[in-house]
Amino acid sequence: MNMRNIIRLLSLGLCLSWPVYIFGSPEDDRIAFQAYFQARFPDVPISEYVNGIYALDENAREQWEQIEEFPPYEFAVENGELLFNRPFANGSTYSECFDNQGPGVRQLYPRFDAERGEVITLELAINLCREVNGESAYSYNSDELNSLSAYMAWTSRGNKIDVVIPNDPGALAAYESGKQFYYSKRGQLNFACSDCHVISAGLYVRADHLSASLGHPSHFPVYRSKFGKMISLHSRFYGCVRDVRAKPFEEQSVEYRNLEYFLTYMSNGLIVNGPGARK
Amino acid sequence: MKLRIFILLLAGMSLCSAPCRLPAQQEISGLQVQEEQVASAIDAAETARQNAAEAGAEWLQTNDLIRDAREAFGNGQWQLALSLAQQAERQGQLAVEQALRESVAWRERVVR
Repeated sequence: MNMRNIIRLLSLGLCLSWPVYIFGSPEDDRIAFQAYFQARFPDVPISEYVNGIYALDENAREQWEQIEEFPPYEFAVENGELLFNRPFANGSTYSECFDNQGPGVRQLYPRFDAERGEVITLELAINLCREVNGESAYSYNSDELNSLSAYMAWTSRGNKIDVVIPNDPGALAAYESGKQFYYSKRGQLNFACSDCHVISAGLYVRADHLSASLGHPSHFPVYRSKFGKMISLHSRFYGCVRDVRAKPFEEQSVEYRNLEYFLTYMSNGLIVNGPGARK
Repeated sequence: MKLRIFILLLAGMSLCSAPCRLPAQQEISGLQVQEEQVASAIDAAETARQNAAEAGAEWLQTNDLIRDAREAFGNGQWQLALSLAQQAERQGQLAVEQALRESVAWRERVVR
């Protein structure tokens, strides 16, 4: 029996022996999560959290608002539109793979695919669409995929995030797995996602304020000035995990897709406002 | 005169090199004893890293430490290789301990 199975069994055993009150439903979790930030920052309207750190840091917000006058992600949106509407070699298009023919479906992702028994993110759905139509999958940090994702986020702006967790053991397991990942300390620095983005939200980490997790998935992909290009949510996960000195998982790994499932569900009811611009 | 200086210089060098060479030979002799110890430490580090990876909890630098240990071992820097391998093994062990601890402890942090 390998180490991962030992830990899973240990975790399961403890789950079965644990008091029932800790097992809130996903909806209980979401309500508590949003209430935590409302109580923590009573002057910040809940709708503001889609703006990430700019909901909490006034100085940074002023700079960001100026950047938004000439959004650096516009090129990605335009390129994404071209790619989305360009037929595949077999004549089909992306629109045939998405609800309502896309592209404004960002708010429905990630979703649980009962047949495949796994969480499907928008980026994975784009690549699955390509493969089903005889095209090769894009690399997950490619400009093409980030452009398509940016265009689909752009056309979803203003739509309320509506991630569904069906009453399916697989879906609930994926949600719980993402939740466990979010709250587990990892790496040599022994940090959990929640250590920075719940407990320490709004506080300084070196010269920057830490953002709140609420609303995090609403604005990806983002143009990072630091890198001079668009990056995905999973690329941000990768960076965070590396920053606490844990070996990062690959983008679109099961671990990150489940994490996105949990994290996006926490933001249900907020609006999509991607793509975004960040330092 | 120049010839005398040259001869004196050669004599000085030969006197100096004999004691300088002796400890190096002893060190090499000592390292031969440690060779198996270093190889074993690198194997132990790799096992610890794999255990951490199986738990989904590998730390960022463990693999790099093992790589550096192997490189130092290959270059004859056995003391350095041993030290790096021991650090890597400890990282692997701590990562597994962390994963076991967190399989329970994470629940305490859930926002309710």
